[in-house]
Amino acid sequence: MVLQGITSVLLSPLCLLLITFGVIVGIIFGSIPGLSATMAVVLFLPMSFGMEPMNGIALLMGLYIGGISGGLISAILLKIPGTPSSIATVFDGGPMADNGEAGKALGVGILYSFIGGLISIAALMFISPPLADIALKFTPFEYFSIALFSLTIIASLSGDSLINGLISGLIGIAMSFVGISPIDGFMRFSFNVTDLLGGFDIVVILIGLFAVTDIIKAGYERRTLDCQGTTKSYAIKGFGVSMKEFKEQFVNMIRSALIGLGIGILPGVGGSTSSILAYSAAKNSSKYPEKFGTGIIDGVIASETSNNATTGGALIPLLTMGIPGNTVTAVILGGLTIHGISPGPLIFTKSGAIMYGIFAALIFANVIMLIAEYAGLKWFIKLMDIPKHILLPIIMVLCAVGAFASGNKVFDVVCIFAFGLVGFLFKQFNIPSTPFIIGFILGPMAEQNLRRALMVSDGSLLPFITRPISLVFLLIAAVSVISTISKSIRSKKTV
Amino acid sequence: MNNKQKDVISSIVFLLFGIGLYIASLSVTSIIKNDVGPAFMPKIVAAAIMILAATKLIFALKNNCEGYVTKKEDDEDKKGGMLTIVALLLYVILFDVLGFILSTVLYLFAQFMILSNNGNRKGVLFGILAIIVPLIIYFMFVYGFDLILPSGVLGFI
Repeated sequence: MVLQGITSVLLSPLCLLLITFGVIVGIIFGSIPGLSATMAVVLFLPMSFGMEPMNGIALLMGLYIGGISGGLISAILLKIPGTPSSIATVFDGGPMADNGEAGKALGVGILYSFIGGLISIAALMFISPPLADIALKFTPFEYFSIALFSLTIIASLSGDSLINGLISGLIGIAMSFVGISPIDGFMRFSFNVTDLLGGFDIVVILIGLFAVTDIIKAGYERRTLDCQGTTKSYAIKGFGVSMKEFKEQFVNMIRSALIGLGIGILPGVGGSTSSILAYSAAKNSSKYPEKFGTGIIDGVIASETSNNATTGGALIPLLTMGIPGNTVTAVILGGLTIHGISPGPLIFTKSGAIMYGIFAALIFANVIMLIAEYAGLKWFIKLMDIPKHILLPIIMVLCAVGAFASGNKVFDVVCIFAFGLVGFLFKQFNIPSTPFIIGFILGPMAEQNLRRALMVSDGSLLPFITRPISLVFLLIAAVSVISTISKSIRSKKTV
Repeated sequence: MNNKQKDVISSIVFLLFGIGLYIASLSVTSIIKNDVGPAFMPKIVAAAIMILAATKLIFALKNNCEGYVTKKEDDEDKKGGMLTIVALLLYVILFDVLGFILSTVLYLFAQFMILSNNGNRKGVLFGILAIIVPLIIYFMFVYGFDLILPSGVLGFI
């Protein structure tokens, strides 16, 4: 099975070609500020429907790896993070470019993106199987508690306000109620509209909230749309690090990779948090913290190692429990389900070959990312000059096609507009939309398991707190809510 | 709008949404014995939304901090935003009526014009792109990926 999975990727020219294509498109999306890795995966999801499962999934993995890594190019050369994950790369990468070391910064960033990615794939390969074994013993009680835990963590971390995060998550759950209910198949909240009988498609909601919303926002920001500053000139030689520097940075590299990995496994905390955390950890433990921000490689290494380490980390809960750690993995979850692979503890037994195929695809994608970014840098920088007022409308058209392709319904095209408007209003009213997506995905899981659990226990809630794993997750959820509330009360007092 | 007004409006909307969800779930009935039924979770979620929205409303009404009630200067281009929303709305409506190609040609040209400014508005280039892009996408999807896109009034191609 292991061999079958690996060879299905590495011996298939089409599969390798798709990964390469995915990585390159991902890097382009990652490097252009305003386009994100999520958008890249969302856009290509409908195209992956028609492919063989392994090919389709490999394409998505390529887009994911490329998209997260591509952000470093604009972070260094434009001082604008191409994706939120590379925010901390700007702190030292920008000044390095100012000091005439843009080539060195890029070389270091690319190399450590690769290393961070590889470390996280290794972790994914070694942590997932034992974790899946543990998850196998989970009953509906544990699943419900984990769903609740994931929602509260996401709600408390994805915005300034816990209430806004929670409301957004709950509205997402409410949207998942539309259509056929789990367990008994009752038709609810369809208001006699035929198109609503099947419920909303996750792809439609994702395209609406993340792509259409951005296009509406671009309309409001049209005056500044094409003002991106000027790209710095650069000369790239080798990977910008000597063996001596590599040894000096070894601890920084490992620490940043571990931070990225840990953050990735936690649901709802994305690459942006991990890169900032790793950056401040590197600064705090450095012998020369005053030099951070002036253009030293330590900062670039911390940020780029950790945000790429997040990629593998976020796939761990996704594959073993079906819980997406961030928006990109939420889209990937959609892709997996469409190809008939249901992530969960049984994934190694049910779709083992695909799992090992995913591992192989990820490793190959990282290698391609290293080569493509290094060799193709010139072209990626040129593409950053495509005017947004031409690019964004074309992306919108592709989104409409994608939404239509997901279910062959014009209704879905109308829905992406509706959800785009919802996402835009959420932004205007300071309400985060990530909890909405996670709520929509976890809603059915929470409902189904709660109802099953209550059937088993004859309506008693007691097993939720007498079963140790379930109790632990409920406790962490409670602690995270209480600590967020007390933090916000304290910050209000100081204002 | 200042942040206070924003929070008051959004909490009232959410409160109404919660009430609506609760009322709608009253008509959902249970069919399996020993099961809490398909209306159970919606009712809980509706109740939670109502409680949170009410809490948010109370906080917003009580809070009169300076930064909270003063309006921030925004450099938003309202006209550009509204035009984009209208263009998108027309696009999704016409998508089926006129078919993919025609509706996309119109939408692309309109959106190019909306997002560009006097300095970079190139009508001819926009016109050419608006015609070529939909054709490429149409033939790529219809003949390459075997996906049927609405052909609308151009049903003959």
